[in-house]
Amino acid sequence: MLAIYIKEMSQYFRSMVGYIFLTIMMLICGFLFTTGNLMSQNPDIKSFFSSLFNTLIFIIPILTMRQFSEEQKLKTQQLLFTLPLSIESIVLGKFFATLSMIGIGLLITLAYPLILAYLGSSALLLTLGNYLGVVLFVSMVVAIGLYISSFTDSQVVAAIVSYGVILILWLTDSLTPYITNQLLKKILAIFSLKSNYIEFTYGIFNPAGILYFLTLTGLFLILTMVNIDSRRQ
Amino acid sequence: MLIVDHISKNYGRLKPIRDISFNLERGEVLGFLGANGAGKSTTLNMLAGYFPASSGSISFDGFDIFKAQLLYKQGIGYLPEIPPLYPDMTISEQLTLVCSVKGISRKDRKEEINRVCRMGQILDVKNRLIKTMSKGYKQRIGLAQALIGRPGLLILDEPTAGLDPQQIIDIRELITDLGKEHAVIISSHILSEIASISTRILVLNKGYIVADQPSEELLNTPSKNQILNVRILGDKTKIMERLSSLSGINRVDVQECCEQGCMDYNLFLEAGADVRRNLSRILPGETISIMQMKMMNPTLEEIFIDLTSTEDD
Repeated sequence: MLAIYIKEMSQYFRSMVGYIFLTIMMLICGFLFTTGNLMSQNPDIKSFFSSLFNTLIFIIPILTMRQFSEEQKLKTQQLLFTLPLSIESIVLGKFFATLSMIGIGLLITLAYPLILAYLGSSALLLTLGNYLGVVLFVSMVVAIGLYISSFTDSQVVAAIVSYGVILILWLTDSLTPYITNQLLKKILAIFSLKSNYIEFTYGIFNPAGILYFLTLTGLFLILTMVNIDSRRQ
Repeated sequence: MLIVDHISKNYGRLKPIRDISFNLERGEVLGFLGANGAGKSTTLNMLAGYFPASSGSISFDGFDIFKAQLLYKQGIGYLPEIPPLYPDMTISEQLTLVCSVKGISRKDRKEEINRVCRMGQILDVKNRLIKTMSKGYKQRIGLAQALIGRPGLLILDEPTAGLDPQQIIDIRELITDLGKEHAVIISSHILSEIASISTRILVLNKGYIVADQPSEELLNTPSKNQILNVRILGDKTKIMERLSSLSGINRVDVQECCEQGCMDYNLFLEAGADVRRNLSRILPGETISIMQMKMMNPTLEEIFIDLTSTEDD
Protein backbone atom coordinates (compact mmCIF):
# COMPACT_ATOMS: atom_id res chain seq x y z
CA MET A 1 0.00 0.00 0.00
CA LEU A 2 2.85 2.34 0.87
CA ALA A 3 4.40 1.93 -2.59
CA ILE A 4 1.11 2.89 -4.27
CA TYR A 5 0.66 5.80 -1.84
CA ILE A 6 4.11 7.17 -2.66
CA LYS A 7 3.56 6.66 -6.40
CA GLU A 8 0.26 8.54 -6.28
CA MET A 9 1.63 11.42 -4.25
CA SER A 10 4.60 11.84 -6.58
CA GLN A 11 2.31 11.64 -9.61
CA TYR A 12 0.04 14.37 -8.22
CA PHE A 13 2.94 16.76 -8.09
CA ARG A 14 4.67 15.57 -11.24
CA SER A 15 1.56 15.88 -13.41
CA MET A 16 0.64 19.37 -12.05
CA VAL A 17 -2.76 18.08 -10.92
CA GLY A 18 -1.67 18.50 -7.30
CA TYR A 19 -0.57 22.09 -7.82
CA ILE A 20 -3.73 22.95 -9.76
CA PHE A 21 -5.93 21.45 -7.04
CA LEU A 22 -4.09 23.22 -4.21
CA THR A 23 -4.10 26.53 -6.09
CA ILE A 24 -7.84 26.38 -6.73
CA MET A 25 -8.52 25.30 -3.15
CA MET A 26 -6.36 28.03 -1.65
CA LEU A 27 -7.85 30.72 -3.89
CA ILE A 28 -11.42 29.76 -3.01
CA CYS A 29 -10.68 29.25 0.70
CA GLY A 30 -8.81 32.55 0.86
CA PHE A 31 -11.70 34.31 -0.85
CA LEU A 32 -14.29 32.71 1.47
CA PHE A 33 -12.34 33.58 4.62
CA THR A 34 -11.58 37.12 3.52
CA THR A 35 -15.11 37.97 2.47
CA GLY A 36 -16.97 35.83 5.02
CA ASN A 37 -14.88 36.59 8.10
CA LEU A 38 -12.35 39.37 7.68
CA MET A 39 -14.22 41.88 5.51
CA SER A 40 -17.58 41.26 7.18
CA GLN A 41 -15.90 41.29 10.62
CA ASN A 42 -17.46 37.95 11.44
CA PRO A 43 -15.50 36.04 14.17
CA ASP A 44 -17.48 32.83 13.64
CA ILE A 45 -15.39 30.16 11.83
CA LYS A 46 -18.62 28.19 11.21
CA SER A 47 -19.51 30.27 8.15
CA PHE A 48 -16.15 29.45 6.57
CA PHE A 49 -16.65 25.70 7.02
CA SER A 50 -20.20 25.82 5.64
CA SER A 51 -18.87 27.37 2.44
CA LEU A 52 -15.89 24.98 2.42
CA PHE A 53 -18.35 22.09 2.23
CA ASN A 54 -19.76 23.41 -1.07
CA THR A 55 -16.30 24.15 -2.43
CA LEU A 56 -14.81 20.73 -1.70
CA ILE A 57 -17.72 18.95 -3.36
CA PHE A 58 -16.75 20.51 -6.67
CA ILE A 59 -12.99 20.36 -6.54
CA ILE A 60 -12.38 16.84 -5.19
CA PRO A 61 -13.24 15.16 -8.54
CA ILE A 62 -10.15 16.96 -9.97
CA LEU A 63 -8.13 14.52 -7.88
CA THR A 64 -10.25 11.39 -8.09
CA MET A 65 -11.13 11.46 -11.80
CA ARG A 66 -7.70 10.23 -12.92
CA GLN A 67 -7.15 7.51 -10.33
CA PHE A 68 -8.33 4.33 -12.05
CA SER A 69 -9.34 5.90 -15.38
CA GLU A 70 -5.75 6.82 -16.19
CA GLU A 71 -4.46 3.39 -15.18
CA GLN A 72 -6.95 1.83 -17.59
CA LYS A 73 -6.10 4.23 -20.39
CA LEU A 74 -2.32 3.81 -20.03
CA LYS A 75 -2.68 0.04 -19.49
CA THR A 76 -0.61 0.44 -16.33
CA GLN A 77 -3.24 -1.51 -14.42
CA GLN A 78 -1.63 -4.51 -16.10
CA LEU A 79 1.49 -3.71 -14.09
CA LEU A 80 -0.39 -3.19 -10.83
CA PHE A 81 -2.38 -6.42 -11.17
CA THR A 82 0.64 -8.56 -12.07
CA LEU A 83 2.84 -7.24 -9.27
CA PRO A 84 2.57 -8.82 -5.82
CA LEU A 85 -0.07 -6.30 -4.73
CA SER A 86 -3.56 -6.98 -3.42
CA ILE A 87 -6.51 -5.03 -4.83
CA GLU A 88 -7.15 -3.74 -1.30
CA SER A 89 -3.67 -2.22 -1.09
CA ILE A 90 -4.05 -0.60 -4.54
CA VAL A 91 -7.42 0.98 -3.65
CA LEU A 92 -6.36 2.04 -0.15
CA GLY A 93 -3.03 3.43 -1.42
CA LYS A 94 -4.89 5.62 -3.90
CA PHE A 95 -7.53 6.58 -1.33
CA PHE A 96 -5.05 7.71 1.30
CA ALA A 97 -2.92 9.56 -1.26
CA THR A 98 -5.95 11.55 -2.45
CA LEU A 99 -6.95 12.17 1.14
CA SER A 100 -3.42 13.39 1.91
CA MET A 101 -3.54 15.87 -0.98
CA ILE A 102 -6.74 17.36 0.42
CA GLY A 103 -5.16 17.16 3.87
CA ILE A 104 -2.31 19.41 2.70
CA GLY A 105 -4.91 21.98 1.62
CA LEU A 106 -6.76 21.67 4.91
CA LEU A 107 -3.52 22.08 6.87
CA ILE A 108 -3.00 25.44 5.17
CA THR A 109 -6.51 26.51 6.14
CA LEU A 110 -5.48 26.05 9.80
CA ALA A 111 -4.11 29.56 9.43
CA TYR A 112 -7.68 30.95 9.38
CA PRO A 113 -8.79 29.85 12.89
CA LEU A 114 -5.35 30.92 14.12
CA ILE A 115 -5.90 34.37 12.62
CA LEU A 116 -9.33 34.55 14.26
CA ALA A 117 -7.81 33.42 17.59
CA TYR A 118 -5.17 36.15 17.24
CA LEU A 119 -7.93 38.67 16.63
CA GLY A 120 -9.66 37.51 19.80
CA SER A 121 -12.14 34.82 18.75
CA SER A 122 -10.99 31.40 19.90
CA ALA A 123 -13.23 28.33 19.71
CA LEU A 124 -11.02 25.26 19.84
CA LEU A 125 -13.70 22.57 20.10
CA LEU A 126 -15.80 24.18 17.41
CA THR A 127 -12.78 24.27 15.10
CA LEU A 128 -11.88 20.66 15.91
CA GLY A 129 -15.45 19.55 15.24
CA ASN A 130 -15.42 21.33 11.93
CA TYR A 131 -12.15 19.74 10.85
CA LEU A 132 -13.39 16.29 11.90
CA GLY A 133 -16.55 16.84 9.87
CA VAL A 134 -14.58 17.99 6.83
CA VAL A 135 -12.22 15.00 7.00
CA LEU A 136 -15.12 12.54 7.29
CA PHE A 137 -17.04 14.22 4.51
CA VAL A 138 -13.99 14.42 2.24
CA SER A 139 -13.24 10.71 2.82
CA MET A 140 -16.70 9.82 1.60
CA VAL A 141 -16.51 12.03 -1.49
CA VAL A 142 -13.08 10.60 -2.35
CA ALA A 143 -14.40 7.04 -1.99
CA ILE A 144 -17.32 7.87 -4.31
CA GLY A 145 -14.92 9.47 -6.81
CA LEU A 146 -12.62 6.43 -6.78
CA TYR A 147 -15.56 4.12 -7.32
CA ILE A 148 -16.75 6.10 -10.33
CA SER A 149 -13.27 6.31 -11.86
CA SER A 150 -12.99 2.51 -11.67
CA PHE A 151 -15.73 2.23 -14.33
CA THR A 152 -14.19 4.18 -17.19
CA ASP A 153 -10.91 4.92 -18.94
CA SER A 154 -12.00 8.50 -19.57
CA GLN A 155 -11.09 11.06 -16.93
CA VAL A 156 -13.68 13.51 -18.27
CA VAL A 157 -16.47 10.95 -17.96
CA ALA A 158 -15.27 10.06 -14.45
CA ALA A 159 -15.30 13.74 -13.43
CA ILE A 160 -18.72 14.49 -14.94
CA VAL A 161 -20.36 11.43 -13.36
CA SER A 162 -18.71 12.27 -10.00
CA TYR A 163 -20.11 15.80 -10.17
CA GLY A 164 -23.52 14.37 -11.09
CA VAL A 165 -23.63 11.92 -8.18
CA ILE A 166 -22.40 14.49 -5.67
CA LEU A 167 -24.88 17.04 -7.01
CA ILE A 168 -27.74 14.57 -6.50
CA LEU A 169 -26.61 13.96 -2.89
CA TRP A 170 -26.26 17.70 -2.39
CA LEU A 171 -29.68 18.52 -3.85
CA THR A 172 -31.43 15.95 -1.68
CA ASP A 173 -31.62 18.55 1.09
CA SER A 174 -33.19 21.12 -1.19
CA LEU A 175 -35.88 18.63 -2.22
CA THR A 176 -36.77 17.49 1.31
CA PRO A 177 -39.07 20.44 2.23
CA TYR A 178 -41.23 19.76 -0.83
CA ILE A 179 -41.81 16.09 -0.04
CA THR A 180 -45.14 15.37 1.67
CA ASN A 181 -44.59 11.66 2.38
CA GLN A 182 -43.30 11.59 5.96
CA LEU A 183 -41.51 8.24 5.64
CA LEU A 184 -39.63 9.32 2.53
CA LYS A 185 -38.84 12.61 4.21
CA LYS A 186 -37.34 10.74 7.18
CA ILE A 187 -35.30 8.44 4.94
CA LEU A 188 -33.97 11.38 2.97
CA ALA A 189 -33.10 13.16 6.22
CA ILE A 190 -31.14 10.10 7.40
CA PHE A 191 -29.18 9.94 4.14
CA SER A 192 -28.85 13.69 3.75
CA LEU A 193 -25.26 14.74 3.19
CA LYS A 194 -25.69 18.28 4.46
CA SER A 195 -27.72 17.47 7.56
CA ASN A 196 -25.19 14.87 8.65
CA TYR A 197 -22.37 17.34 8.09
CA ILE A 198 -23.99 20.48 9.51
CA GLU A 199 -23.80 19.32 13.14
CA PHE A 200 -20.03 19.16 12.96
CA THR A 201 -19.97 22.86 12.04
CA TYR A 202 -21.57 23.58 15.45
CA GLY A 203 -18.86 21.56 17.15
CA ILE A 204 -21.22 18.65 17.87
CA PHE A 205 -19.61 15.20 17.72
CA ASN A 206 -22.67 13.29 16.61
CA PRO A 207 -21.93 9.52 16.52
CA ALA A 208 -24.69 9.04 13.92
CA GLY A 209 -22.98 11.53 11.62
CA ILE A 210 -19.57 9.90 12.15
CA LEU A 211 -21.09 6.48 11.46
CA TYR A 212 -22.86 7.81 8.37
CA PHE A 213 -19.69 9.09 6.74
CA LEU A 214 -17.53 6.13 7.81
CA THR A 215 -20.09 3.61 6.56
CA LEU A 216 -20.48 5.26 3.18
CA THR A 217 -16.69 5.64 2.83
CA GLY A 218 -16.20 1.95 3.64
CA LEU A 219 -19.05 0.93 1.36
CA PHE A 220 -17.71 2.80 -1.66
CA LEU A 221 -14.16 1.56 -1.06
CA ILE A 222 -15.42 -2.03 -0.96
CA LEU A 223 -17.53 -1.42 -4.06
CA THR A 224 -14.43 -0.07 -5.82
CA MET A 225 -12.47 -3.22 -4.91
CA VAL A 226 -15.33 -5.46 -6.06
CA ASN A 227 -15.72 -3.54 -9.30
CA ILE A 228 -12.00 -3.68 -10.12
CA ASP A 229 -11.90 -7.39 -9.35
CA SER A 230 -14.96 -8.13 -11.47
CA ARG A 231 -13.60 -6.10 -14.41
CA ARG A 232 -10.42 -8.23 -14.35
CA GLN A 233 -12.37 -11.40 -15.14
CA MET B 1 8.67 -25.30 -11.84
CA LEU B 2 5.59 -23.86 -13.55
CA ILE B 3 2.65 -26.23 -13.64
CA VAL B 4 -0.29 -25.28 -15.83
CA ASP B 5 -3.07 -27.78 -15.27
CA HIS B 6 -6.12 -27.87 -17.53
CA ILE B 7 -6.76 -24.14 -17.65
CA SER B 8 -9.60 -22.69 -19.67
CA LYS B 9 -10.96 -19.21 -20.15
CA ASN B 10 -14.59 -18.50 -20.93
CA TYR B 11 -16.27 -15.23 -21.78
CA GLY B 12 -19.84 -16.45 -21.87
CA ARG B 13 -20.08 -18.66 -24.94
CA LEU B 14 -16.71 -17.50 -26.23
CA LYS B 15 -13.89 -19.86 -25.18
CA PRO B 16 -10.53 -18.42 -26.20
CA ILE B 17 -8.57 -20.98 -24.14
CA ARG B 18 -9.64 -24.61 -23.85
CA ASP B 19 -8.06 -27.04 -21.48
CA ILE B 20 -4.38 -26.12 -21.72
CA SER B 21 -1.81 -28.06 -19.70
CA PHE B 22 1.98 -27.93 -19.69
CA ASN B 23 4.94 -27.78 -17.32
CA LEU B 24 8.01 -25.59 -17.54
CA GLU B 25 11.29 -26.11 -15.72
CA ARG B 26 13.98 -23.55 -14.92
CA GLY B 27 16.53 -23.61 -17.73
CA GLU B 28 13.87 -23.88 -20.43
CA VAL B 29 12.82 -21.17 -22.88
CA LEU B 30 9.33 -21.90 -24.10
CA GLY B 31 8.37 -20.26 -27.39
CA PHE B 32 4.67 -19.50 -27.67
CA LEU B 33 3.36 -19.61 -31.21
CA GLY B 34 -0.11 -19.01 -32.52
CA ALA B 35 -1.97 -17.03 -35.13
CA ASN B 36 -3.70 -13.80 -34.14
CA GLY B 37 -6.60 -14.69 -31.88
CA ALA B 38 -5.17 -18.11 -31.04
CA GLY B 39 -5.17 -17.19 -27.35
CA LYS B 40 -1.47 -16.42 -26.78
CA SER B 41 -1.89 -13.13 -24.94
CA THR B 42 -4.90 -14.44 -22.99
CA THR B 43 -2.80 -17.37 -21.79
CA LEU B 44 0.16 -15.16 -20.91
CA ASN B 45 -2.11 -12.75 -19.03
CA MET B 46 -3.54 -15.65 -17.03
CA LEU B 47 -0.05 -16.95 -16.26
CA ALA B 48 0.97 -13.47 -15.12
CA GLY B 49 -2.08 -13.21 -12.87
CA TYR B 50 -3.59 -10.28 -14.74
CA PHE B 51 -6.91 -12.10 -14.82
CA PRO B 52 -7.91 -15.49 -13.50
CA ALA B 53 -8.56 -18.64 -15.47
CA SER B 54 -12.19 -19.81 -15.57
CA SER B 55 -11.09 -23.31 -14.59
CA GLY B 56 -7.91 -25.26 -13.94
CA SER B 57 -4.91 -24.34 -11.83
CA ILE B 58 -1.56 -22.62 -12.24
CA SER B 59 1.32 -22.86 -9.78
CA PHE B 60 4.95 -21.82 -9.76
CA ASP B 61 7.50 -23.18 -7.30
CA GLY B 62 4.63 -24.66 -5.30
CA PHE B 63 2.66 -21.42 -4.99
CA ASP B 64 -0.84 -21.63 -6.39
CA ILE B 65 -2.01 -18.54 -8.30
CA PHE B 66 -5.38 -18.58 -6.48
CA LYS B 67 -4.38 -19.72 -3.01
CA ALA B 68 -1.07 -17.84 -2.67
CA GLN B 69 -1.49 -15.08 -5.22
CA LEU B 70 1.07 -12.65 -3.82
CA LEU B 71 3.79 -15.30 -3.38
CA TYR B 72 3.11 -16.58 -6.90
CA LYS B 73 3.39 -13.07 -8.34
CA GLN B 74 6.56 -12.44 -6.35
CA GLY B 75 8.21 -15.14 -8.44
CA ILE B 76 7.27 -13.85 -11.87
CA GLY B 77 8.36 -11.02 -14.13
CA TYR B 78 5.98 -9.98 -16.90
CA LEU B 79 6.49 -7.89 -20.00
CA PRO B 80 3.13 -7.49 -21.76
CA GLU B 81 2.75 -6.61 -25.43
CA ILE B 82 2.45 -2.90 -24.55
CA PRO B 83 4.93 -2.16 -21.72
CA PRO B 84 2.93 -0.77 -18.76
CA LEU B 85 4.82 2.42 -17.94
CA TYR B 86 3.94 5.72 -16.27
CA PRO B 87 4.89 8.46 -18.76
CA ASP B 88 5.30 11.13 -16.08
CA MET B 89 7.88 9.11 -14.16
CA THR B 90 11.58 8.79 -14.83
CA ILE B 91 12.87 5.31 -15.61
CA SER B 92 14.54 5.22 -12.22
CA GLU B 93 11.28 6.15 -10.43
CA GLN B 94 9.31 3.52 -12.32
CA LEU B 95 11.86 0.85 -11.43
CA THR B 96 11.95 2.05 -7.80
CA LEU B 97 8.17 1.55 -7.62
CA VAL B 98 8.51 -2.04 -8.80
CA CYS B 99 11.47 -2.62 -6.42
CA SER B 100 9.45 -1.40 -3.45
CA VAL B 101 6.44 -3.55 -4.37
CA LYS B 102 8.70 -6.57 -4.79
CA GLY B 103 10.10 -5.98 -1.32
CA ILE B 104 13.66 -5.02 -2.27
CA SER B 105 15.17 -3.14 0.67
CA ARG B 106 16.03 0.54 0.27
CA LYS B 107 19.77 -0.09 0.47
CA ASP B 108 19.67 -2.72 -2.27
CA ARG B 109 17.39 -0.80 -4.64
CA LYS B 110 20.05 1.31 -6.31
CA GLU B 111 22.18 -1.74 -7.05
CA GLU B 112 19.18 -3.69 -8.35
CA ILE B 113 18.06 -0.82 -10.59
CA ASN B 114 21.57 -0.49 -12.02
CA ARG B 115 21.71 -4.25 -12.62
CA VAL B 116 18.44 -4.39 -14.59
CA CYS B 117 19.26 -1.15 -16.42
CA ARG B 118 22.56 -2.68 -17.55
CA MET B 119 20.73 -5.80 -18.75
CA GLY B 120 18.15 -3.70 -20.64
CA GLN B 121 20.89 -1.30 -21.87
CA ILE B 122 19.16 1.75 -20.44
CA LEU B 123 21.66 2.70 -17.74
CA ASP B 124 22.69 5.93 -19.51
CA VAL B 125 19.10 7.20 -19.71
CA LYS B 126 17.72 6.03 -16.37
CA ASN B 127 17.05 9.56 -15.12
CA ARG B 128 15.04 10.59 -18.16
CA LEU B 129 11.26 10.87 -18.26
CA ILE B 130 9.58 7.83 -19.80
CA LYS B 131 7.31 9.99 -21.98
CA THR B 132 10.36 11.29 -23.84
CA MET B 133 11.63 7.80 -24.74
CA SER B 134 11.21 6.00 -28.07
CA LYS B 135 9.23 2.78 -28.53
CA GLY B 136 12.39 0.69 -28.50
CA TYR B 137 13.52 2.23 -25.22
CA LYS B 138 10.08 1.71 -23.69
CA GLN B 139 10.31 -1.94 -24.66
CA ARG B 140 13.67 -2.22 -22.90
CA ILE B 141 12.38 -0.38 -19.83
CA GLY B 142 9.53 -2.90 -19.71
CA LEU B 143 12.05 -5.72 -19.94
CA ALA B 144 14.23 -4.23 -17.19
CA GLN B 145 11.11 -3.86 -15.05
CA ALA B 146 10.26 -7.54 -15.55
CA LEU B 147 13.77 -8.55 -14.43
CA ILE B 148 13.55 -6.81 -11.05
CA GLY B 149 13.91 -9.17 -8.11
CA ARG B 150 15.38 -11.98 -10.27
CA PRO B 151 12.01 -13.68 -10.84
CA GLY B 152 12.12 -17.43 -11.43
CA LEU B 153 9.59 -17.20 -14.25
CA LEU B 154 9.83 -14.59 -16.99
CA ILE B 155 6.85 -14.05 -19.27
CA LEU B 156 7.75 -11.95 -22.30
CA ASP B 157 5.11 -11.01 -24.86
CA GLU B 158 6.78 -9.77 -28.05
CA PRO B 159 9.96 -8.60 -26.27
CA THR B 160 11.76 -7.43 -29.41
CA ALA B 161 8.90 -5.38 -30.89
CA GLY B 162 10.12 -1.91 -31.86
CA LEU B 163 13.83 -2.63 -31.43
CA ASP B 164 16.51 -2.01 -34.04
CA PRO B 165 18.44 -5.00 -35.48
CA GLN B 166 21.41 -4.70 -33.11
CA GLN B 167 19.11 -4.37 -30.09
CA ILE B 168 17.13 -7.40 -31.28
CA ILE B 169 20.34 -9.46 -31.35
CA ASP B 170 21.33 -8.18 -27.88
CA ILE B 171 17.92 -8.92 -26.37
CA ARG B 172 17.85 -12.38 -27.92
CA GLU B 173 21.26 -13.09 -26.40
CA LEU B 174 20.02 -11.75 -23.07
CA ILE B 175 16.94 -14.01 -23.17
CA THR B 176 19.09 -17.01 -24.09
CA ASP B 177 21.33 -16.23 -21.09
CA LEU B 178 18.34 -15.73 -18.79
CA GLY B 179 16.94 -19.04 -20.00
CA LYS B 180 19.88 -20.86 -18.43
CA GLU B 181 18.72 -20.04 -14.90
CA HIS B 182 15.11 -18.94 -15.26
CA ALA B 183 12.03 -20.45 -16.78
CA VAL B 184 11.19 -18.17 -19.71
CA ILE B 185 8.04 -17.98 -21.80
CA ILE B 186 8.38 -15.89 -24.93
CA SER B 187 5.73 -15.06 -27.46
CA SER B 188 6.59 -13.57 -30.82
CA HIS B 189 5.19 -13.22 -34.30
CA ILE B 190 8.67 -13.62 -35.71
CA LEU B 191 8.95 -17.37 -36.13
CA SER B 192 12.70 -17.29 -36.76
CA GLU B 193 13.09 -15.55 -33.42
CA ILE B 194 11.17 -18.29 -31.62
CA ALA B 195 13.20 -20.90 -33.49
CA SER B 196 16.52 -19.30 -32.48
CA ILE B 197 15.77 -18.57 -28.82
CA SER B 198 13.46 -21.32 -27.61
CA THR B 199 14.47 -24.70 -26.31
CA ARG B 200 10.86 -25.79 -26.60
CA ILE B 201 7.96 -24.62 -28.76
CA LEU B 202 4.29 -24.66 -27.92
CA VAL B 203 1.80 -23.98 -30.71
CA LEU B 204 -1.67 -22.75 -29.90
CA ASN B 205 -4.56 -22.89 -32.32
CA LYS B 206 -8.08 -21.76 -31.51
CA GLY B 207 -7.42 -22.12 -27.80
CA TYR B 208 -5.94 -25.62 -27.96
CA ILE B 209 -2.33 -26.77 -27.79
CA VAL B 210 -1.58 -28.40 -31.15
CA ALA B 211 2.14 -28.97 -30.55
CA ASP B 212 4.44 -28.94 -27.54
CA GLN B 213 7.88 -30.24 -28.47
CA PRO B 214 11.57 -29.45 -28.10
CA SER B 215 12.54 -26.92 -30.78
CA GLU B 216 15.02 -29.29 -32.48
CA GLU B 217 12.40 -32.00 -32.72
CA LEU B 218 9.71 -29.68 -34.05
CA LEU B 219 12.03 -28.08 -36.60
CA ASN B 220 13.01 -31.51 -37.89
CA THR B 221 9.43 -32.62 -38.29
CA PRO B 222 9.04 -34.06 -41.79
CA SER B 223 6.42 -32.14 -43.68
CA LYS B 224 3.41 -33.82 -45.25
CA ASN B 225 4.90 -33.18 -48.67
CA GLN B 226 8.64 -33.85 -48.49
CA ILE B 227 11.02 -32.18 -50.87
CA LEU B 228 14.29 -33.77 -51.96
CA ASN B 229 16.78 -31.26 -53.28
CA VAL B 230 19.28 -32.80 -55.75
CA ARG B 231 22.09 -30.94 -57.53
CA ILE B 232 22.86 -32.81 -60.74
CA LEU B 233 25.56 -32.24 -63.35
CA GLY B 234 24.51 -33.10 -66.89
CA ASP B 235 22.01 -32.59 -69.65
CA LYS B 236 18.68 -31.40 -68.30
CA THR B 237 16.54 -33.26 -70.87
CA LYS B 238 18.18 -36.61 -70.17
CA ILE B 239 17.93 -36.07 -66.44
CA MET B 240 14.25 -35.18 -66.63
CA GLU B 241 13.61 -38.30 -68.71
CA ARG B 242 15.22 -40.51 -66.07
CA LEU B 243 13.46 -38.73 -63.24
CA SER B 244 10.09 -39.21 -64.90
CA SER B 245 10.70 -42.97 -64.90
CA LEU B 246 10.95 -42.95 -61.09
CA SER B 247 7.88 -43.67 -59.02
CA GLY B 248 7.10 -41.68 -55.86
CA ILE B 249 7.69 -38.23 -57.37
CA ASN B 250 4.75 -35.88 -57.75
CA ARG B 251 6.48 -32.95 -59.38
CA VAL B 252 9.95 -31.66 -60.26
CA ASP B 253 11.02 -28.02 -60.06
CA VAL B 254 14.29 -27.07 -61.76
CA GLN B 255 16.39 -24.09 -60.73
CA GLU B 256 19.67 -22.63 -61.95
CA CYS B 257 22.57 -23.00 -59.55
CA CYS B 258 26.00 -21.48 -59.02
CA GLU B 259 27.99 -24.56 -60.11
CA GLN B 260 28.82 -24.73 -63.79
CA GLY B 261 26.84 -27.33 -65.73
CA CYS B 262 24.68 -28.15 -62.71
CA MET B 263 21.02 -27.58 -61.96
CA ASP B 264 19.08 -27.88 -58.70
CA TYR B 265 16.14 -30.28 -58.96
CA ASN B 266 13.48 -30.09 -56.24
CA LEU B 267 11.64 -33.38 -56.20
CA PHE B 268 8.22 -33.14 -54.52
CA LEU B 269 7.70 -36.63 -53.14
CA GLU B 270 4.55 -38.58 -52.52
CA ALA B 271 3.68 -39.12 -48.85
CA GLY B 272 6.05 -41.68 -47.34
CA ALA B 273 8.08 -42.09 -50.51
CA ASP B 274 11.90 -42.25 -50.33
CA VAL B 275 13.47 -42.19 -53.79
CA ARG B 276 17.10 -41.62 -52.75
CA ARG B 277 18.35 -45.19 -53.38
CA ASN B 278 16.62 -45.46 -56.73
CA LEU B 279 17.88 -42.06 -57.69
CA SER B 280 21.49 -43.06 -56.93
CA ARG B 281 20.99 -46.20 -59.01
CA ILE B 282 19.40 -44.84 -62.19
CA LEU B 283 20.79 -41.33 -62.54
CA PRO B 284 24.60 -41.45 -62.61
CA GLY B 285 26.26 -42.31 -65.91
CA GLU B 286 29.15 -41.07 -67.98
CA THR B 287 27.62 -37.64 -68.50
CA ILE B 288 25.43 -37.34 -65.42
CA SER B 289 26.64 -37.01 -61.83
CA ILE B 290 24.85 -36.35 -58.55
CA MET B 291 26.77 -33.52 -56.90
CA GLN B 292 24.59 -33.06 -53.79
CA MET B 293 21.41 -34.48 -52.33
CA LYS B 294 19.48 -33.34 -49.23
CA MET B 295 16.04 -33.73 -47.77
CA MET B 296 14.57 -30.27 -47.19
CA ASN B 297 13.28 -29.74 -43.66
CA PRO B 298 10.18 -27.62 -43.58
CA THR B 299 10.61 -24.12 -42.20
CA LEU B 300 8.94 -23.18 -38.92
CA GLU B 301 6.46 -21.19 -40.96
CA GLU B 302 5.51 -24.32 -42.91
CA ILE B 303 5.29 -26.42 -39.74
CA PHE B 304 3.17 -23.71 -38.14
CA ILE B 305 0.78 -23.59 -41.09
CA ASP B 306 0.68 -27.41 -41.17
CA LEU B 307 -0.19 -27.59 -37.48
CA THR B 308 -2.73 -24.84 -37.47
CA SER B 309 -4.46 -26.01 -40.65
CA THR B 310 -4.68 -29.59 -39.31
CA GLU B 311 -7.21 -28.42 -36.78
CA ASP B 312 -9.37 -26.96 -39.50
CA ASP B 313 -9.45 -30.26 -41.39
